[in-house]
Amino acid sequence: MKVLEIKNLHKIYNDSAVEVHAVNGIDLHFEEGEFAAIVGPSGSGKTTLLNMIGGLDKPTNGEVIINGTKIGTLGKSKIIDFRMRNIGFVFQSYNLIPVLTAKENVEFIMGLQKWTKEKRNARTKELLEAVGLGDRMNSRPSQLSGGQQQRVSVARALASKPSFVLADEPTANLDSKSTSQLLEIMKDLNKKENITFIFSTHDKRVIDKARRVITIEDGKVTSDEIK
Amino acid sequence: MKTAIKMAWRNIWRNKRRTLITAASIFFALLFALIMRSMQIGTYGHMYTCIIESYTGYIQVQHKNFWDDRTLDNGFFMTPEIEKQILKIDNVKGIIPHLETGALASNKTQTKGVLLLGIDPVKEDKLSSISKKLVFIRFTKQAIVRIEKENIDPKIMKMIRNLEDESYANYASLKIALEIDDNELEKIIPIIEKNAAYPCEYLKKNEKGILVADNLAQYLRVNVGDTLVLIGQGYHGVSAADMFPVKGIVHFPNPLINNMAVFMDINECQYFSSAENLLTSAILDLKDNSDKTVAQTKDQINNLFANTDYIAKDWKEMNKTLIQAMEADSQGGIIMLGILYLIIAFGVFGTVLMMTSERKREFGVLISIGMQRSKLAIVLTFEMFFIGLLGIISSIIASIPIILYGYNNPLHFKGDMAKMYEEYGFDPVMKFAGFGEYYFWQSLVVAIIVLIAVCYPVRKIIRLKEIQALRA
Ligand SMILES: Nc1ncnc2c1ncn2[C@@H]1O[C@H](COP(=O)(O)OP(=O)(O)OP(=O)(O)O)[C@@H](O)[C@H]1O
Ligand SMILES: [Mg+2]
Repeated sequence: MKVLEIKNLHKIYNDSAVEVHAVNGIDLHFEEGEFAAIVGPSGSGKTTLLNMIGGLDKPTNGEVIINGTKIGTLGKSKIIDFRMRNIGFVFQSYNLIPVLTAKENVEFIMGLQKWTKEKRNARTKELLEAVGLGDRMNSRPSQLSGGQQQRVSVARALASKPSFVLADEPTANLDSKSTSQLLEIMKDLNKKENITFIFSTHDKRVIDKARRVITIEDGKVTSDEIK
Repeated sequence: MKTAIKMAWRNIWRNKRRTLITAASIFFALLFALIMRSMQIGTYGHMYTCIIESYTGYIQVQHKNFWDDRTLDNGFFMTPEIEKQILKIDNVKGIIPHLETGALASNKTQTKGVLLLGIDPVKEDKLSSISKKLVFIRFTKQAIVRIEKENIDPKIMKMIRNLEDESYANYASLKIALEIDDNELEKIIPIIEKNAAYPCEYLKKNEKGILVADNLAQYLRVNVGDTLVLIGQGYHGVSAADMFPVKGIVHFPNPLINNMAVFMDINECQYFSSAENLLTSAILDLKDNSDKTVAQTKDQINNLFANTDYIAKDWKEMNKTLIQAMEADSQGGIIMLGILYLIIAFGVFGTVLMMTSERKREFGVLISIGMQRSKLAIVLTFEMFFIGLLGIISSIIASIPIILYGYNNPLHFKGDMAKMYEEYGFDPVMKFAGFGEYYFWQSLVVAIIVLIAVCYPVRKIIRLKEIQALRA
């Protein structure tokens, strides 16, 4: 089943003296359960692409279609609800709400979606155990290491069973041990929950774990291989 | 909503010091405002009561021309029928007659225009307790010489020397003047009574005699036992002149009255003015003095006397200048509070701005993962609301003992401050009002300021762009 389709996507930044064609005509589609890495040198347009996929930024041209919905047609507040129901986000850092515990962070979106307390509790417990933090449910983000925080972020992104998870360089701030731990966890959950992961990275070890590797350069896809 | 409240509450404690400083600024401003309003409202109330209870009463019945032209010729004759009709009204307990006229009083070389008030000694005493205002202690030169010979605390003696020619109608004011406590007062009472007693008598019905207000008596240099010559104009231009023995000196807190009042039995006064049964006003003794009931009673009387020359006036109509002065004073206070509140408004505003700008990235994450901007704005509003509430509640709690203390222990000004008050015609007492509506209003103003301060950051949140916020 096709969860995400990108058609002829362009992004031109012209707010500085020079016009930057950050994304220059990208066509891609992703199936349910994929585990895909977007790689490319710095400045190649990875972040710009992911932001447009997530509806955080508007393309200059082209379309992003998620589960059949052209997200460009959604209004300002509709798009937020749409994200809440369809996309899980993992950012590079400072992902978590600092005043909420690990458990409350994971529950957050389920709360917005008005899940019952029992369902929320069960799902949170299941996910935090899956990311190896079953014993840190009540810790605040400041009491967790960077790697642990990213694992909680992954748990939160998956909590309400979105169509796919977007992660822009989720391991950029982690040491190699935490990086491989996080990758293992992501891969496990990808298999178990059958939820698509799309993440960008620079890291060779991360690229090795991906089952699909999309390379972009100067805003264009230069290779797209499935291992 | 529960999550929003939980987040807001925890958020304000992320920067404990800033929250406490902001709450403290609200705390001090509101505390100051509450105390100030309490003092204002209490002091005005006290002044009103003072005037009402020593002079105008709550409602007066008069001839309709009297108020604008206060002459005997605008008086009225109180007939038994009228009296009966007025007394029929539920809230009216009794009628206290007044005959008020101007006269020239003279003693030897001293002469002064005075306000001559004919009163019913018994009824009047119930309204204004004049008999309790009779001077009974006076520190004349001779009295002070006599007290010097007694063996009393030199500190108190020094105070007494400063009180030469001062008169007292009760121990409470003596205690304040001497700046002593109850124990010390207890000890010196016998000595003072022995050496400085002043022999006053109260008026009797149909007895020729007058009570002279304290300051006026001092000006005219009359004492109990002296005679005062009064020259005036009686009803319809008849001339009036007679000599009256001074029975007593009365001390009024209100300096206006203290400077010019002379009291006489009403029948004597009517006789002096050649106007039997004439009154200039009839003060009503009321069961209930609350604003609402007073207004109702006034309306009832005016309905009763529609199409006649009689009219009822309430204390507000009769004391317009005083009320205006108080209102002007109150406005001055309100302007001061306004400035104070403006300062807190900026403080609160600064706090909100910092709270939003330093959390821009966090807001970006929240909006990205699916939290509506409006919800975020609610969280922020709750945060400021909590800080505001913290300040408001703590200042209300802190104000309770202060207001209670002030309410039970009115502040009596001393020395120059007291003199200044008296010169302006005010009783030198600062009273506190108890808890009242003003608590609600002041708190509401602070709450509104806090909510207004949130408007700008809320607007910013509503316009926040996700990627810009995430990049912060
Ligand atoms: N807001 C912006 N205004 C102007 N130019 C921008 C803006 N954001 C990105 N760019 C430009 O667009 C191009 C792509 O940037 P992008 O951040 O997408 O690259 P990236 O592949 O994520 O790089 P990195 O690996 O360093 O994160 C760059 O040349 C960058 O300078
Ligand atoms: Mg990037």
